[in-house]
Amino acid sequence: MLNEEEYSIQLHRLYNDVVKSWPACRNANICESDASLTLQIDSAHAISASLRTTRLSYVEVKVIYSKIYREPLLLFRIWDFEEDNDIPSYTLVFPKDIDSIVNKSADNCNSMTQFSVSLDIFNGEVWFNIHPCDTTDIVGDDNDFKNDYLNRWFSVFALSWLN
Amino acid sequence: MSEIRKLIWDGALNVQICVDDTLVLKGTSTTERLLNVRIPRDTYIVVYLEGMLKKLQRFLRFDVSEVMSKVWFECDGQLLPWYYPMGVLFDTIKGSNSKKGELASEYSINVWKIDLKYALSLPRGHIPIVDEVDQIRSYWMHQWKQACFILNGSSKAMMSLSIKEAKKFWKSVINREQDEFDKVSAKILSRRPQFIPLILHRTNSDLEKIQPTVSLVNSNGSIKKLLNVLLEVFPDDFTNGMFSGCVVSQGIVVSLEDDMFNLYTKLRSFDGFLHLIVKEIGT
Repeated sequence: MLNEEEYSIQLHRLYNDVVKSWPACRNANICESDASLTLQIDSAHAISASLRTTRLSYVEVKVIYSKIYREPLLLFRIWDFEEDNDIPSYTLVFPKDIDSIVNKSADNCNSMTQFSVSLDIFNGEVWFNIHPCDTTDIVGDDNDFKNDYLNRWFSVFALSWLN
Repeated sequence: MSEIRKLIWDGALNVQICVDDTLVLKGTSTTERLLNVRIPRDTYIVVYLEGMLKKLQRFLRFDVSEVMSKVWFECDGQLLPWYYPMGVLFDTIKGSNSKKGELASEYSINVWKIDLKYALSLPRGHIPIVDEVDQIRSYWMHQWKQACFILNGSSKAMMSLSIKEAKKFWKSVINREQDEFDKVSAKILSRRPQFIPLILHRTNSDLEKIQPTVSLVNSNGSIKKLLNVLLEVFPDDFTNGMFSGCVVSQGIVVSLEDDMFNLYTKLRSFDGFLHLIVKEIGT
């Protein structure tokens, strides 16, 4: 578990140490008012292949803090690029088998760690979220590594399947 | 107590669904677009969506499977978020501006008219149904995991349910089997919880939802009452120590002097949360 104050501090560390140098990341910004980090990620090949599309545009990722679980929470949504009569537009796609797509991409299929992915509403908008109920068990909150909690969490919950 | 729980479990609403005319074949009459159903208060309206569409299949322009992800429910132009229990939607949407004395007559309405809308672009605040009943079950299980975490400090009690028990749990909601439901939920609920899973609903246009952290006792050791929670969450809604609204749960106006654990035990919903609707009185 991570308290809210420590989360806010570590969010900047995550941004500077990991996100800025992540090649797949097109764009990233921290919103101080709600302590969230939003990223635009070039869609990973594995996800495009799973969705059987070549034109998949990008995955929007948001890191927020869950006051209930006292853990970081990963939200994401998939944007598809369309061109209708030469008018380009982006639309959200909601793959039915998102759970297996994410777990397959993260190579979790034969592992004890299985992400549980579901659709929910955050600030009035629809996002997929990876359920945080086992986060501490997955990330480990040994005091010696506490300062690195959010970076380790991000590597398991985001980099493992978005890279 | 079991009598109250039974009344809550059996509570139902008479609903008339009017299907969007863009969804039906040309020439379909208004009467043919209507569907009268009785829906339990303690379930999600969307559980019945596929059945409703199948009943109207012969008038529809599309296959049921094609439209599931492109429809939503509305009442007087306001989105009904399916992910709240049916009774919560009714208590929140109906009579949001009613005066205290009018609540009784308002609740005697016996048919709630709801529109089933259809469009390619979905309204803000709606979760599209992309995986039929599996998605609804999964959403409900996540609500229970969250409730379990709030009650016990971990979701282990919920995660420890066997696949068979988890299936039985959901089936009990669908088949309205209260005994089965109580048996499984007893494994998750706690006699001395850390906190109370509570969702406060405001009746404003955004249907604002607030999830405060509510312990069983106040900082001075006294039992936490609803009044204490309202004072913490909505201090501006008090004038000279009097709360300017009223609070409804499961269709009942509740006393601000009720203790929170007692309210949770009596009036919690099928998703493991106590839903309290905070209504403004008169505007």
